[in-house]
Amino acid sequence: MLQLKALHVEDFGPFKGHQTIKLSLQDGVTVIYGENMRGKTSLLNAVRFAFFGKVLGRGTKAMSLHKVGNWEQAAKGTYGFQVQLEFKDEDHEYKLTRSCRPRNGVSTPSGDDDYAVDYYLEKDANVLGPQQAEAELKRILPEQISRFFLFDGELLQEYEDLLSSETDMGRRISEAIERILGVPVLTSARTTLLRLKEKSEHREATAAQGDQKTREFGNQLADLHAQRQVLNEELQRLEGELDSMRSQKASLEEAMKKKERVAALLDKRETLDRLMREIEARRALKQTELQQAMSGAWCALLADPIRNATKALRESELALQTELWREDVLRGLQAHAGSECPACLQKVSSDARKRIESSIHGASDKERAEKSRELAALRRKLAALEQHAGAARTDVLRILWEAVEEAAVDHAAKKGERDEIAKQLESVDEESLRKTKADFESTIRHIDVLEKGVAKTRASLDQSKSDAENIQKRLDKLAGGNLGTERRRREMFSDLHRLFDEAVGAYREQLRKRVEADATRLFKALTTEPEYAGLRINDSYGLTIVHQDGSDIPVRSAGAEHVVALCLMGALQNNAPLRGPIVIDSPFGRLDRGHTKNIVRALPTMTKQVVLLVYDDELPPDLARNELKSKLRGEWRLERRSARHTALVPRKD
Amino acid sequence: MTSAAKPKSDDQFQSLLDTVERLRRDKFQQLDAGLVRELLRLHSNGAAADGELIRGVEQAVERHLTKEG
Repeated sequence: MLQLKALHVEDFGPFKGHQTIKLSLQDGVTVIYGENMRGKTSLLNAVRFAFFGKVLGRGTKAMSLHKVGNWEQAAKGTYGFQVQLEFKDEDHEYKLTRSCRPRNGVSTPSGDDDYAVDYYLEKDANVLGPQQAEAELKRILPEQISRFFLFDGELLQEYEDLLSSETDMGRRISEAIERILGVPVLTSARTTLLRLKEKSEHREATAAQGDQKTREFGNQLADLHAQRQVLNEELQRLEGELDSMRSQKASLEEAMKKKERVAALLDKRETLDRLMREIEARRALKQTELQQAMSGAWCALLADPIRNATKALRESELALQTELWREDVLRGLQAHAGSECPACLQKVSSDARKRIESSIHGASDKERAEKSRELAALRRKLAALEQHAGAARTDVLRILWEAVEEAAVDHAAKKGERDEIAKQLESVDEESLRKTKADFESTIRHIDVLEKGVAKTRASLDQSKSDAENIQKRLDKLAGGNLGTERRRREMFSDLHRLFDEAVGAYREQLRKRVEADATRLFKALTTEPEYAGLRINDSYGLTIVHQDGSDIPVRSAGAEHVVALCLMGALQNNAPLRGPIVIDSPFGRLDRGHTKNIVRALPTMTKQVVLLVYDDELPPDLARNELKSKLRGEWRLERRSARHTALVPRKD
Repeated sequence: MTSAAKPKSDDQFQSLLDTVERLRRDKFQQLDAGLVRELLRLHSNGAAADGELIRGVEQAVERHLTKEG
């Protein structure tokens, strides 16, 4: 079992100069306390760098090595860093040293290309050759399963993906789980035996070709085997490409998840931009209408005089009109020979007739025409005055003015909101986000094409196999040459292949049961909810919380997700052939005091060596001491010297 | 939780072997238990290269076929 003894860091992140942290080999927990930005994640990365030569940022994105060296040293012109890890495995003592130094001839490095990473491994004080060192490291801690030993507590959330068979992240974790549990021993045996089975079938076909009685079947089989080989190669190529595309999709998904907030801000900014354009168009329209309305607005100042003048003119119009009507009626009466009025049909007396005649006497046609002109002029004046009175409609002006004002206020509010978002997006690389989105969509399309290709090739392969089986059955009824020996070999490989194929399924089933039982046991010790009865495992090793009434708990909080993921980790450690230390960064950030207590108490049962990287509020020292008691093997503190310099010191308080 | 002192890689091999042996006994009695164990052992050593592994398996089967006559 792998156990860490000491970690020496030199100019790694905030750890300026040469610093060492020693870890106890006795079973238990070492707690390293450090407030934010003091270097907890850097310490986890130092272990990761020693084993795999990689440094990860928040999440799983590789960090530029140029940025890993201590900044104060770089400011003084000293670049690069080194990590040395002392560990024990299967009774052997190891010392792994990995350094990152500027390449020869580079005095001021500016990027990763300016550095060279080198490592050597000592086993029991003997330096191993490069190939041997690589093989030893792969055996001791394969990178594919490192997620179960070195992890960021925040990433435990990813294990939720195991509940869905759809996500590539879930598939990736599921594969890593099978790897740590030893399933690849059986799948690799199955693959070897399949290849040898096919080889033996080919040998049998060749043997059949050598005999007159069996030649025809031999030829047909040889053709089908050649076809199968081509199809197998094509399938292997497609599946390889599909795997790499799925990994790419999972990475992109992860990157997009991290950029979710930024993507939401970008979407909101786009929506605000569109709304602002619409408001601006509305405001411009109302502004034009207002300008038109304003051209007669001066009339409002003359509203009273206009009203008075209109009234006077109306009176004059009425008087003049009445006069003209009266004259018309009188002329009509005069012209009418009868004794009745043509308008009211009443009798007109002779006296009345005389008065009428005297009234109209002297009223010449010229005078009447003059009055008509006067009336027409009056009416023109009235029309002009009414037009001005209409132009001076203040209510219309007010409505338009308010609409313009409202649009301006609305626009200003949206602009304020947009400016705020723009400020938050200042340091964001929008282009990279867009590229991630575009890459994601293109990857999905590519995966779709590859999946169709795989399905088609598999169908052709199945057909080819079925054809070969039919011919093989007919060939089995015949004998000749050395066919018997080849047939025995082929049958042996075929049986072995079937045995290991079935063993893969049976072993997986057993593992699932064991992992479920161990995870449930741990969960019951960790959860503070008495009604939760345990965990149920699915085909991908995803765990669902089960209520005591037997029903599943469909939705769980981030904290519950965290607890369930830790249970899975514990169960995997218990069932895996490879055991090692667990180094966790910020494992309790999402947990309440009750769960934190339970987990701290259970940690020593999960594996022999646990290293916790925490801040005081996340795991108060008193709580750790009370719960761990004699299992607390060491307490360290990341002490601030400056913003770019942290010292590793034993905690004494 | 089970005790952290549980032995591991041998335990793991035994667990794999138990699974395969149970199946062999139930359904593939014509296969030799020793040969199956040898093949499993060859694959448990993850460090072996692909070609080396195939050669090892082939040789084990050939030895068995020769022995059977």
